[in-house]
Amino acid sequence: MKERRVSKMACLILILVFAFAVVACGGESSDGSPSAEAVVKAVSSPLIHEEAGEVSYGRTRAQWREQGFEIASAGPIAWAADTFVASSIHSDRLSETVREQIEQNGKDGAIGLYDELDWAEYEIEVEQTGLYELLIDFFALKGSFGPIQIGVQIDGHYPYKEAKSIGLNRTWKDGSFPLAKDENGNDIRSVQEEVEGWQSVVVADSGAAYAEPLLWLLQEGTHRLRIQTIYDPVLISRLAFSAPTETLSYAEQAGTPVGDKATKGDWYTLIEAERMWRKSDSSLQMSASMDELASPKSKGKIVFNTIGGDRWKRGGQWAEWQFEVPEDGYYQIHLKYSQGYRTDAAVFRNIMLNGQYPFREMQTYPFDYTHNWKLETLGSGSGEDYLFYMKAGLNTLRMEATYAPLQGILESMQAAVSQIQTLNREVRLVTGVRDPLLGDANRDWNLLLYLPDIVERYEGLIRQLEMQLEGLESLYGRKISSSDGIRSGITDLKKLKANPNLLPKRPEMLASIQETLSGFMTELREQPLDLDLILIAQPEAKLPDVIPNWSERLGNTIKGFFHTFSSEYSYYGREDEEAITVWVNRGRDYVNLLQQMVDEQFTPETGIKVNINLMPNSQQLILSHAAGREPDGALGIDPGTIVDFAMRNAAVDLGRFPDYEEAAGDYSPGMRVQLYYNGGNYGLPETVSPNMMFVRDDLFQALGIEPPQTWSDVYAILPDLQQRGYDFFYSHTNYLPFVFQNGAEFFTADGMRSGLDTPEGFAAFKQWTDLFKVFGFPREVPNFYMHFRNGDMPIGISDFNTYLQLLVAAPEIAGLWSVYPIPGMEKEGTVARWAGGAIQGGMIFKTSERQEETWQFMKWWASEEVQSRYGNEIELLNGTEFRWNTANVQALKRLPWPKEDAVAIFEQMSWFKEMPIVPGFYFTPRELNFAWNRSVLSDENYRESLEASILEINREMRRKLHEFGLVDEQGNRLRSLEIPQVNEKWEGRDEP
Amino acid sequence: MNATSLRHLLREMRANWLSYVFVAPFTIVFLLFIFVPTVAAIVLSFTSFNAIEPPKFVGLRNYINLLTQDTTFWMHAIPNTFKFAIIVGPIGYICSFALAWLITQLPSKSRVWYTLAMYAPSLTAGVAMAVVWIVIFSGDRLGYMNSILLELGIIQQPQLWVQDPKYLMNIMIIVSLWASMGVGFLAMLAGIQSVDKTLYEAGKIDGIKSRFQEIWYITIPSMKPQMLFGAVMAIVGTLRAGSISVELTGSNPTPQYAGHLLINHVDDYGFIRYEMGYASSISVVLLILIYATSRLCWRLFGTEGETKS
Repeated sequence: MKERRVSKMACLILILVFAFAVVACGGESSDGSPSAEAVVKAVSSPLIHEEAGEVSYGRTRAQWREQGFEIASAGPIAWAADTFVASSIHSDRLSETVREQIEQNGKDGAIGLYDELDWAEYEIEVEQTGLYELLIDFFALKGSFGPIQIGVQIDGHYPYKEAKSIGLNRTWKDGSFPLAKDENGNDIRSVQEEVEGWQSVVVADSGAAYAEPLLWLLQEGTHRLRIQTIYDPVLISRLAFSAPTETLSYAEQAGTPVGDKATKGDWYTLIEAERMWRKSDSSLQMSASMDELASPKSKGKIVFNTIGGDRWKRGGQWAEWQFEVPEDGYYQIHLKYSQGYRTDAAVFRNIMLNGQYPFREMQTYPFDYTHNWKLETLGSGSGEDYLFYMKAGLNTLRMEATYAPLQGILESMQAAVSQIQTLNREVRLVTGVRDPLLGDANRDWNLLLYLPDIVERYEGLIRQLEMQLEGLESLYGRKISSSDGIRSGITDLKKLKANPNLLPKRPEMLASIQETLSGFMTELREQPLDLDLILIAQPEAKLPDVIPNWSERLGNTIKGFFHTFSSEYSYYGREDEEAITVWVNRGRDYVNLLQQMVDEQFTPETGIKVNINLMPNSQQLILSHAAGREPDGALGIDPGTIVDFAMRNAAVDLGRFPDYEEAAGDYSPGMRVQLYYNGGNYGLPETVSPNMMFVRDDLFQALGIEPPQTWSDVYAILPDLQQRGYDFFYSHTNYLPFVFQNGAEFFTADGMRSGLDTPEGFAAFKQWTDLFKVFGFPREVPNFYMHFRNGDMPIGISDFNTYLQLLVAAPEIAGLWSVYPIPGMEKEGTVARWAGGAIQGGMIFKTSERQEETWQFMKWWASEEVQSRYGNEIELLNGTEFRWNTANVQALKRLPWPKEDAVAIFEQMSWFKEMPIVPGFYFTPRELNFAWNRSVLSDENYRESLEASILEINREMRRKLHEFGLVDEQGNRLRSLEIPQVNEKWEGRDEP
Repeated sequence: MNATSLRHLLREMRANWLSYVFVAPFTIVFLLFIFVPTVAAIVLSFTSFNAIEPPKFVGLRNYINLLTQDTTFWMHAIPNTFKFAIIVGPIGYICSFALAWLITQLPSKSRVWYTLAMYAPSLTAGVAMAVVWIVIFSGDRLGYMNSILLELGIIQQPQLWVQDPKYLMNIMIIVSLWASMGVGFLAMLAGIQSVDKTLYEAGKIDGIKSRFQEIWYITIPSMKPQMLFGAVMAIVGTLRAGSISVELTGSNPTPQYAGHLLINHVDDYGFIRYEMGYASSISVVLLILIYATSRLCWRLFGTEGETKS
């Protein structure tokens, strides 16, 4: 009932929004004043968000309903996949494993879509107009570890936004049960195995935003259907449009279970939630509760005994359990769960039995907020416990994360956001104020003259937001604290409504409402839930006591306190006396996998044992070195620290090992320059996070502009972007690309002075600060990723983490954005795209007595083979968000990248160059940021500002050089540091 | 002569062994954690020590550099520290006394709660920093400070309170004052309460006309030890402050050294440049500063009390 009311309300809101938009557009042109008319003309360019293929399924579905389209009732229209009328398939670039897979699993009538944007088109004959479901039989070929994404077009266009990226999930399972244990009795995560096989699915939204599968409107007649891959290769054998079957409600179900024989009986079975039989995602992982309250108890060890939390919150992620029941009949299902993530709010799961909804109530079943473990018996919420019919033998239970009940609210919130964006843009066009920091307080505007309907528009927004609040309250049955943001937004809107001319003075007001709404929307989409046990029981069964009572909870707290004194509490890894010890500054998952690989491969091959130990903080290296307890080697260290050790004569020059060049060949000179000091190479790079440019292709296409190749291109497209209220994101601390692209260097070639004291250096500084002073780039952007998703910053330069975030956590824009190498400066026909990025590397300590063996380990670790295996396995274990951004370019190529992204990333990697590290290097970023501050915030002349900084940098460098004996008391050079000069694009060890 | 006196001393020590047992815990802890590190710092301050290689003796080089070369020290660290200390120290001290006195005027039942309310900030400074002050001085429009001032029309755009060199120091001062009701405040509270009540009666008979005279002629003279203790704690506390600027801005050094205090300077040299010797010499200077200022307090509050006892 509740759901129905919500969806009704959502429809109402949608209709209102639509009507409102019409009124708003109509209202503007009726104004008489000439200047206002000009403004209106300028802004009445269609809202980009509203263009075809940009409308969401929910809205499209509502429109169809309004237009009177019914759910189809005709029989299915099915066809084999190889009956296409046109296609772009070419199978020439298949990998060996995929070929093998096709040979083994190919089917009659199956076709393969291998490359990104491969497509096949079908002609289908429809006899009855109506809404159909789309069924696909597919086989997931080896690609990345994420879902396969396809797009579905009907008659040359996408019927709605969701059709642009439909996820076909791979099926996964944990490789082994029981789990292996390490020498301390802690569980080790199991290998993830993909379950290969043909799957037959009804196409649904990839984020499970809707409880039902997606429907497709087919009018009577002939249609062309195009299936197109977006990520990852897939085999398709059969497609069908069929009439959706309606799921009955519990009450409507045939055959009430009363009096049935099987309703008696006291059998029950208990399933540990972490023993998933199948799952949709290798990153849906078991987790360790670290307490005695979950089952099985952890007893001070790491025992994986629950699933959920952050690893099970994205819509569409499902887990499935298999169990056996003794006889045909009715059973109850009890779940031991806790949900302490959404205060006062519920999270939702779709629950399926043997692949189907037993009845409608199992769609979007709510799990209420509870901080402690709670036993939920699946029921109506008003005391009636549901009975589920199961046949004797094996059954499966599936739970899928979903936010479908919130979709209506989310959509109208999105509508409110885009209305705010439009309004903001229009006001900017009137006042010409772009930068919120430049609002002119002493100038009054009569906004009503230019935007006569502005008050009504505020009213509309307020109404919408209030309805969303009500919707949330009726959904959850109470006010939720996280919606306070909306309430403050409403207050602000009311203020603006009362005084419309406030906005030009306080241009940031609307922007901040928009930000709050966007943040809240992300939160609503996440549905985290912890699950410990599943009980399948006959109705009269006496259930075991699985919920800890207060004395157990107290006992757990006390035990937990005493466990903190045990040596295992902060277990950092094995301490074998005979082994070399390597400290790793990364998370426990990384450390465990590395230790595992060393034991499996490195130690048997070389006979060298290695202790891989976790180091929570790299500062520990300095302190432990002072105490004489440093390890033999360390990994995950930033180059600054490595060279700090090198300067102080505590690191081993790896270049003196004869096979150094061989090992370092896969790493670009632009990376190695950061690990170089005074003639020695003191580390090997491990990971690198290069700068990349992210572009929303859809918005750029709509604007008719191309992604920029050079900075002049950037300046050229800026007006197009800014006119429409879009911004370009560039971090204000990222000075490096300008320095290198202008041909300046941070230090002179002998490493004795700042190299910025050149015409090129000043040009670079001016170019960098001008972005913010002249070109109006936003100065402070707390979250580019959010802005990029919302579309108000359709372009920006950011690092590898943003790439992963977008790849993993932004399914709604999958396929709509691309990465490019960053803009550069054109010189003699080529575009020099120099840029840097954070590096981590490994080093060996001079005090180690086993440097040779440690070097063996380093070399093994840095090799292409090991890096690519490690990258693949860490991703397999933990999901795409753990993609290993190895600095080994050869290994990087063997990770599962989307092909076009790979090209861009490798192009940028060949222009990778970082700041060399010399004594006193830390002063350069510090002083440059001070200089930026003076120049941009205090409007000081750029030349004076940089000169002052260069003076300070040189002072500090001279002091430090003297400390290390490189210059004498008077500042005369005693030795040169001879920084390696990297001026050529790196083509890699061997060009692909 | 010497031998006999030594033997005499030892015999006396053995006779009073129990007393030594009683002072042992403190003595050991004091030596280990206060005396040894201080001596080590003084020794290191005459060396060049990069935390990795063994220290090299350089004589007074560090001090010479500090006094003649270090512009950041003279231009930022010292002026900032003094500005900070001169405002926060005395005002915090006066506030401590005033509040302590006011609280003693309350009925004894509610007194405890007020005391707790005043004392709590100094205990919870770290947490409060995150949940109270960062929110108040947040640089966006939603920060309380920005929000209220925008509302009143006093500012037109949100100010980056803690990033802007113009405001940072003042904010540091305000936050420190708020958290300054520490141990010194408790001591003064105890001091005021322990003043002999009969003195006030005697004073009244002798012609004290106002509460102010009462404080000046009776309360303060009778609680000089506590006043001294409070003063020393205030001085030490303010000169030692440093984490506050880092907590507020999230960076060390602070933008354009606006909130750079002596302790930040020590950190900068010790853990960014790894010049432990030089960092030690800065901390020795700090130690001397603290000592000198506490001598000053001794002068102000201590002389009579000292000579009498």
